[in-house]
Amino acid sequence: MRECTLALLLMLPAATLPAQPPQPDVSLEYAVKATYLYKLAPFVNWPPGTFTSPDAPFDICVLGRNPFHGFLEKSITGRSLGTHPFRVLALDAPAPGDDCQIVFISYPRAEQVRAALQVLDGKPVLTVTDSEDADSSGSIVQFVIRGGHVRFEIDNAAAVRNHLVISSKLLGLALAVKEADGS
Amino acid sequence: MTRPPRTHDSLLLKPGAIMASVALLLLVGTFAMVYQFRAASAERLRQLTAQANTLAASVTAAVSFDDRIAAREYVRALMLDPRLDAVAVYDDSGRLIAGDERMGSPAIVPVSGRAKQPKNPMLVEVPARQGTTVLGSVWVRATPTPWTMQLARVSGVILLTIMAVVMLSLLGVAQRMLTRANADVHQRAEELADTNRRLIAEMEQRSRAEEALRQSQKMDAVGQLSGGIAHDFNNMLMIVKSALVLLEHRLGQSVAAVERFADAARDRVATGVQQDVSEPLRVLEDGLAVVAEGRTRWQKINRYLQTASDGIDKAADLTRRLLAFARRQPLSARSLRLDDLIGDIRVLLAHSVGSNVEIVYQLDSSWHVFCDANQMENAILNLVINARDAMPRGGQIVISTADLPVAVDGCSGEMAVDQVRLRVADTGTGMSEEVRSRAVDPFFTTKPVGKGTGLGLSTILGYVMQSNGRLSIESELDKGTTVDIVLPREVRDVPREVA
Repeated sequence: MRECTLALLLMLPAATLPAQPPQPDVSLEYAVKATYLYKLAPFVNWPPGTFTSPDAPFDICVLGRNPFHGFLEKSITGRSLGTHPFRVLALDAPAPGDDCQIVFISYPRAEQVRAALQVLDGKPVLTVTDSEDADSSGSIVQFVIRGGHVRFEIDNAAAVRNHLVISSKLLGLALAVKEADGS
Repeated sequence: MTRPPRTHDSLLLKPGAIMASVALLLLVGTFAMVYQFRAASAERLRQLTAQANTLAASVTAAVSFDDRIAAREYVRALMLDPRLDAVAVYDDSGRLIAGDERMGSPAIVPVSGRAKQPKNPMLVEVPARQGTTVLGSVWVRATPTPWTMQLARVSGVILLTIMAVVMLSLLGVAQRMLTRANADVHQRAEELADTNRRLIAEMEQRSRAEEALRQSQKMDAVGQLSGGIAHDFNNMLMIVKSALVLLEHRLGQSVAAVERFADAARDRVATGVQQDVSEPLRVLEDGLAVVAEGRTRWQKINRYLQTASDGIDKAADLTRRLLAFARRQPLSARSLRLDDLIGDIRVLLAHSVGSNVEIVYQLDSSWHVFCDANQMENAILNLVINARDAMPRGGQIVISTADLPVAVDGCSGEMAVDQVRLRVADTGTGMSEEVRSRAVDPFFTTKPVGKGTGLGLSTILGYVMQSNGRLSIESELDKGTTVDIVLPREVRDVPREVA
């Protein structure tokens, strides 16, 4: 099943990036995910006061091991959300002083992921997990592979808890949306 | 008659103005058409842009996360609008995410090649934005509007323009026709005025003719009156004349008897002196003295008689003239040539005018006329004397004759016969129109009292009329006078009676 998915994934970028030398399958999948990470930003509204200044950087943090192999840094080069240029920070653990707007949690172990999500719960942070991980529930956005394409599921309840408003367009595109109770 | 000024031509109705108006109308119509085209195009472009914007707003997530199925659904939903020709969605790197186009219409080429696309005003590209981030682009192309639709759009303007042009053209044509009709009316007015002028001229001619008729009737009346008087007067003169002749005769007889007695007495006195018979001689000598005295007295009486006889002769002459004027005088007319007649009296004429007046003869007539030679001589003499009197400081008198064939005489039909004209022209003082019109009136004279009878020209007129001729006088002050006597040509051999 997984081999099949990867094979399909391989075919897509192969058409668009013919000049690139053959890369491991994982790299191609994460290249797509890297672009999706920063592309999520326009569809999410952070609460006012998230940015201290108009030109404050928009931080995309990667917790744990970095699966992107530099794709993320490459893809955000020269890009910004409004006046806020994207910045990638690699962190070992969530720290109170770090004001990340998007956190990609990539711990190998499920308990590490849960702990990180607990730390970030209630903070204005868009938490993203990879379905490759054992237990990724609890994050706001979860990447999944479906039909050879990278797709995602959204936990809107977690977003509400984190004071984030997610655009209906993004919700409409999600494979599954977990709505907040009673909302 | 002056032409009245044309006031019906207003500036607006000049053909040039109409042409200019038509041109202006066409120009304005074209402008309106172009404006309407542009406005319609701009409106269509706005609609197209709005549709593109709607699609762009909807499709952003699908573009961002490469959801081609979702993107294609959006595109197909938009393509339900039949006015759209092609719709395409590209991501931010220019990759086609979804696209659709109608059968037969060209596909929208990728963004990288858009510069090569033919310029199409109905092709709209809008960026797909989420917030401030540009995530891709949306292209929408409209179906080309059919030309019938475009024509229908501007049909109102075209119709209005055509109607206005047609109306203006009709106006122009009407104006042209009006002008032509006006010209006709003007021409007719001119013809009418011409006719009127002719009518007035004819009326004047008629009034002149009536004046002449009145004059002639006046002459007739005067002539009859004076003729009647002259006739009776002439008879009385004849009685007086014969009485005078008898008186002279008787006087002569008695004088002869007395002379015979006186001669016998003188013989007896001579013999008586020898016989010395003194007493009877004394008686005889007394008788002789009485006879001598009687002879002297007789001579005086005879002189009175002569004077009376002369006066009667003059009076008779006057009555003859009056009778001649009144055409009551019998004429002893005969056939003669005027040239011969004038030749006979040249010496007489030369004597009558004196030395400072020259008479020039231009005698070119060979035809005969039928008239009284003495009267004609009198008439010519009269005319020459009148001419002389009109030239107190000398001058020239031209006496001319000419044959006037019928064709040359432009007179009325009643006189359509050959004629002979006698003309006496002078270079004298001439006459005013007033004087000329009265010149032939009897007793009208311009000469000092006692010098003229005022019967000269009227007598001539009477004589000429009696001879079936015409008399005409042309004169101008200080330019001289020309008198024409025109007599019919005598063609018959048998002498005719003249009343």
